[in-house]
Amino acid sequence: MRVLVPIDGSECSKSAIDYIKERPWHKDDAFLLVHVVEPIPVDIGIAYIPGAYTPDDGAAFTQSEALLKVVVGDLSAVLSNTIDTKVIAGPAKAEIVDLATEWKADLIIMGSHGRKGFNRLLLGSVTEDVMKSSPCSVTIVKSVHCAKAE
Amino acid sequence: MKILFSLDSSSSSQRAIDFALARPWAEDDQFLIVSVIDADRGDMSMASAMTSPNQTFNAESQRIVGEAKETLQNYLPQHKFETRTLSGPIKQAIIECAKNWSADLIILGSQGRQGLNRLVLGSVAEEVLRDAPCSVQIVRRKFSRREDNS
Repeated sequence: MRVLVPIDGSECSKSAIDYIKERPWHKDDAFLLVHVVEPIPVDIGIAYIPGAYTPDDGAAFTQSEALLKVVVGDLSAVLSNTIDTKVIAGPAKAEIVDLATEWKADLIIMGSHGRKGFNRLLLGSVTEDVMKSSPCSVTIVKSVHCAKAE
Repeated sequence: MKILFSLDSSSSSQRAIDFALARPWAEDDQFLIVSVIDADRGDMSMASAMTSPNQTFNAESQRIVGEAKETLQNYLPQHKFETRTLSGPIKQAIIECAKNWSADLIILGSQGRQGLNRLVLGSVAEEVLRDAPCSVQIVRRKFSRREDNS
């Protein structure tokens, strides 16, 4: 099975990682950890400008790669599976769904809230969007860290 | 981990079972298979539904959980499977059951019986996901037809 794991460094994406560490996996299950760099703060309603960021855009990408490296280390301490990483730029939902399609993911595992989640919302906006348009199965991991907030 | 399967007679429920049959499970995983008796369903014979509704719907739910238990038990002979038929509005029944049983994960197909084809996610799945006290696994078929549509 091919498992895509969007990572944003939030407590909730840590819950998704903990879930992966705790669950049993087949030897040939492969993981792809992805961090999406959103070029422009979507929160303030400015549209995405194609090509605004490219993979050699320094700081943001270096930071993302560092983040993913930590997660890979964390996971490979427990799992012997193949774990790849990818940093991409663009609007998170579309990039995650596209990558799931291209990479032929069987499953996406993500936290119920992302970085931008307001606590009063029960489900993060990126999570909800991905879940709605995902081409494959989705596990939404709810943890005490994210659920408690209400 | 305590895993709750929510099933109906739709093909997406069958996919939820197929998914379970393809995955490894931990030794101490416990399973509860439920089906909600819902008098508002369209997949029953009208004649029997009108003459003896409770009996007919209850028998159908019993059949669904019974068959699922048999299939899963064959795959995981060491594990314990409980079954229950629930009544009431589907979403509330599932959420209540998950809370009472302290489920860690709810597994369900993405398109329940009431889902129209144009709705990518079944309304029951979406509602359950919003209010679930625990993680949720949405099992979905691959949308290989997506390319044709776009």
